[in-house]
Amino acid sequence: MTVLELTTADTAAAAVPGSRRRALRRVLRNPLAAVGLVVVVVAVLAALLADLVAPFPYDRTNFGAALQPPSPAHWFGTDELGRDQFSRVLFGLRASVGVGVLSVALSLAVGVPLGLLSGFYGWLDPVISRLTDTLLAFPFLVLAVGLAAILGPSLATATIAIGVAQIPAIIRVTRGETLRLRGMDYVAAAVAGGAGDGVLLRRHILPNAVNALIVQATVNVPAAILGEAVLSFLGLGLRPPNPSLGGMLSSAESLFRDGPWLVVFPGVAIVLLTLALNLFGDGLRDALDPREVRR
Amino acid sequence: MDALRRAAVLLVLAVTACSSIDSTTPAPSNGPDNRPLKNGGELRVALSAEPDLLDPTLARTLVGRTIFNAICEKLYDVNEKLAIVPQLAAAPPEISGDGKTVTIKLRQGLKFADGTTMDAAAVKTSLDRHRTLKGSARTSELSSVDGVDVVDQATVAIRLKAPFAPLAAVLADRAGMIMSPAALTAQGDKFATNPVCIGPFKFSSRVAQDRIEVVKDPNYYDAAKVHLDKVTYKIIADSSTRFNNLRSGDVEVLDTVAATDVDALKADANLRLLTSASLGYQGITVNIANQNGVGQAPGTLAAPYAGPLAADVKIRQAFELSLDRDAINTVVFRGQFSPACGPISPDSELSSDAAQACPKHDVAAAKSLLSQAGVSIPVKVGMVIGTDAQARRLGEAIQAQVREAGFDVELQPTEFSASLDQTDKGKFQLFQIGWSGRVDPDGNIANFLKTKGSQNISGYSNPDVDSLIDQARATTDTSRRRDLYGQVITKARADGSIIYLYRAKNLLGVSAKIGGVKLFGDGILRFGEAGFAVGS
Amino acid sequence: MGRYVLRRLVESAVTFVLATIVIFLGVRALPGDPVRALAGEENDPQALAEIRRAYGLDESIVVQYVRYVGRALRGDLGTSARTRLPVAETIGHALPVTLQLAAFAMVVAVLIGLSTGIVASVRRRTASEWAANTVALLGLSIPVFWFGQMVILLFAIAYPVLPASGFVSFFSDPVQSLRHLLLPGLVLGSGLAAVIMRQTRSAMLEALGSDYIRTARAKGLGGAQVVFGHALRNSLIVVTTIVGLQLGALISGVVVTEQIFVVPGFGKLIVDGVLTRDYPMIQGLVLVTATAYIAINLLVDLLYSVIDPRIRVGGAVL
Repeated sequence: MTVLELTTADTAAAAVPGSRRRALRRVLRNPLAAVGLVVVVVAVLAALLADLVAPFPYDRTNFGAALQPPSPAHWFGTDELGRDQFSRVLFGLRASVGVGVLSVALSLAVGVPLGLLSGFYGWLDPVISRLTDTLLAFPFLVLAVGLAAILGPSLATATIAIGVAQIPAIIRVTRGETLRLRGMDYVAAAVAGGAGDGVLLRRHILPNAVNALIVQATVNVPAAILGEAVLSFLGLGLRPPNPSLGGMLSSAESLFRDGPWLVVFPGVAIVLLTLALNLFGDGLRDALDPREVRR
Repeated sequence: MDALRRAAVLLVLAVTACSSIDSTTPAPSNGPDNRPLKNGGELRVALSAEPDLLDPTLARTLVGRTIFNAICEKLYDVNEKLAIVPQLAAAPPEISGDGKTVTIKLRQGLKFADGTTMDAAAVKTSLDRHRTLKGSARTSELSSVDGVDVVDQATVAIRLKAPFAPLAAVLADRAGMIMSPAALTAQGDKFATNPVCIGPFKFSSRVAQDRIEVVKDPNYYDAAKVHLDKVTYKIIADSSTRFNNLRSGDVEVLDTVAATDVDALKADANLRLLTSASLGYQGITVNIANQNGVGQAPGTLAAPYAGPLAADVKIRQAFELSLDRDAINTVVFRGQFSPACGPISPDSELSSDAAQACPKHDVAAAKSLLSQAGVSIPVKVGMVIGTDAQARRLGEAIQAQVREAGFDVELQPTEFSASLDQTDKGKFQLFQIGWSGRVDPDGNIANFLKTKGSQNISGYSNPDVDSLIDQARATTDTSRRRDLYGQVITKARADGSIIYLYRAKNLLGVSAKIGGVKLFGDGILRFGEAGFAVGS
Repeated sequence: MGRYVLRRLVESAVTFVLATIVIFLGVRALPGDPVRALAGEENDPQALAEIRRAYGLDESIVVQYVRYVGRALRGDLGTSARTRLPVAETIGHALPVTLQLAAFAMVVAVLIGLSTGIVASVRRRTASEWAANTVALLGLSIPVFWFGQMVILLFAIAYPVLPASGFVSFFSDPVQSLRHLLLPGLVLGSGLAAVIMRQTRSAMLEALGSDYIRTARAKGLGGAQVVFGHALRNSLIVVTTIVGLQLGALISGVVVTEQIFVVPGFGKLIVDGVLTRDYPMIQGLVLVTATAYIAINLLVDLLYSVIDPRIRVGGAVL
């Protein structure tokens, strides 16, 4: 048993890039995940290229052309201030993707080091774990609403609020993986070989914890995007006139009867994006799960 | 045949649901509603916000006044023309020759909800409590009062420090509500949890953040005119949710219909819309000199709040000229409201042409003022706005309009209570804020425009304006006051501490089953004579 | 065993104290003077000072904290600054409401989550699996406030079969209660369903691949019997604990759902409390939430340690 573990773990440690490439190939064999990936890639491209693709600036108003239904000039119609809805959806996509990615990056940047330390140094564990528990004891929205209220609504605030709320989960996952990996024989072998703490953490533990973190991140990105939408609904999202999908959706809600297209397009965009992320994430999780390999 | 008829009915329903053409005959909208009403039933009302303490002395929220209307009557009330009429008082106030003693005759034999009798002693107890209780929200309204005397069982005399014309209007609001002395003694500081006054209804129960229930009061002097057994006020903050509840029949009355929902409401044969012009206004307050906090002496602004708008009246005028009030009304409020250029409602008997004077939208003039002032374009300025969809929309519209003249407005959405705190301290450049309005124009003007006024967050100070406001307070002559307020507004407008934008309407959605609901300019919902229509 | 229980108890106590400090300081870090929020539209410096004194807000922060904790331990959470009703009583009204909503949402979530999870695990790599996955994940991909508005438009206005808002206790009128709970329960439960689907699916896959299932199949047991009799039963333990730990997610969902369906519960109190800067109210609400969370975590850990003693080694990692 011990011998077997040593070999599998060592191969994993040695062949991480190759195994991930294989995992990606497995993901793409899952049609749902493949579709998800395509949608996500398109959305990210659209968000990145919004400046080039969008036919109008997102804040160009035209009171004379307010609330027009979709037409060749305005593919997604215009809003109550006569702004081109297609352009706003593109820029909204950018904001939503941005909040999703940046908040998760923030939670990783803070959570991963803390999780590694907590799992690796027994004496630090109680301190970090209690702090994590404390943070976890507050529901995400309570934290986010509180932070957004303190910092004032803006893109940065939404990102920080959502990112901070996601830190505990990252710490927990990293810590769990670190605990698990530290007990592995190949790590013991590295210690016997004279490897220092830094080397152990960077070379042997972190690379093997990445799979679990990727899986966690695929859950967190769509959650963050919806989190921004909810903050917008509560009036704590982006600063106007900057659009985000959630913000557009919540402000269009009262215009539902005058301009159904105002609800439909951002709504479809946000559902498609998060659904695609979730589908891709689930596919990825299956592919990275060693149990799936055996089957 | 039957199937055919059903299909036809469905088609009609679909057409009426989709178009705004009224093919059916709904209950009259805003016209006289003389349908007979039956006794009994529970009226469910959706309010937009949670009232605060149900204690007339301590209460501060606007929405609370609607609850008080059901349970706590006042010495005076306003009628549909906003004229002041006696309610618990028996006659208009008699003012002595020097204007410093006001004698009020009371109605006799009225009983509080707890069965005790209202007399002059009860009125004195209530007025003294309003004036002196710790934390009272009425002290500033009654600051001109020196003392209250019981003349006889049915007469009180109010001694004033100086003549104060708006007194009757003040006594037609919460400061004129009379509480049961027995209940005040019994409940002490817990009066808010079970208020006892005189009203068509009496307090029954309250579940925080959810509902307030009042039931018909058999002790009420006009109980014979009260139709409803019970009124339940539900608190529903989100305007779409509120409207959905009215449409689904979960409530019968909806306070504060969103301007964007008005067309849909009018199109619904089961609903009707009651409207009245608001007594208040909405506008943009410019921080001119609020360096030391509201109510303190004006100072010189420092960074980051100092700026061209604070420094130069020409630039404030340019900002105003670049605003198109009609377009704002059309785009943001679907044309439901009306543009406003001053603090007084045109319906007020103290309004005048001078009070309503309004500059035209003129971008070229705005640009030339800016170039005269010699500032670099664009002029950057920050504006604090609310966080709800409508406030954001208004902010975006303003931002887009003034951009044409050369202003670059940064919108700063801030949650309401935080924005009040911040702007009191002078930490702002522009603030989009309004005022719910008072019957007497003094309530819309003095605190906002007088030097060191309690609401003068602009830090505005003009000795001429101060003196005109004081003169208008001291006289009871209507035409003289009208003229004085016209002068106040002309001068204040030229200084541009507040750029008035629009005047909202009180919009009330009511189920067609309900009759007798009254809505006046004060925006208070009156259910004393409301009821379910016979046959509904 | 005894030492483990003791350790977890101490840890929970430490977390609790930290949580009270965070709540206390966090609430005070909210911008906007609570006194100003109380004063509303009007403004009078003298009255403001008096309100400040009346609520003990002029004391030092340490004094305020000690006083707060002392009272909280005796079950006194103070009186709401806005309504002057006792906070504990207000929460007492709201809690059963939210618990009933949450319980109903959980039923919805388990129904959707289990069925889609089973389908997804049994019908591997077929259209049924993909359909089941998509349905479950859709619940996790729609903004709650939008979903809520849409079902109200559909079922309360276009086809008025259900009430748009409100709440009736299950114990006073079960039928009316379910009618009121159906829409908010569906909206709240749909997000959780995806989580349960994922757990069910992976637990089922593991169970179906394990030796004892293979033995059962070898003994000639039919498909349904294997799936429902053996694999599902063993997967349920894992699923149950996961469900227990969804409290945080549930409360976040409750905040929005209650706002839209005007359910007079916990979530509505939280939002309204934050918006009106009702310090005593927010403190009380978050304290109750945090305490519940810590208690449930402790309970799950202890339960686990009884079921599977190995857990103790790793501590409370999920």
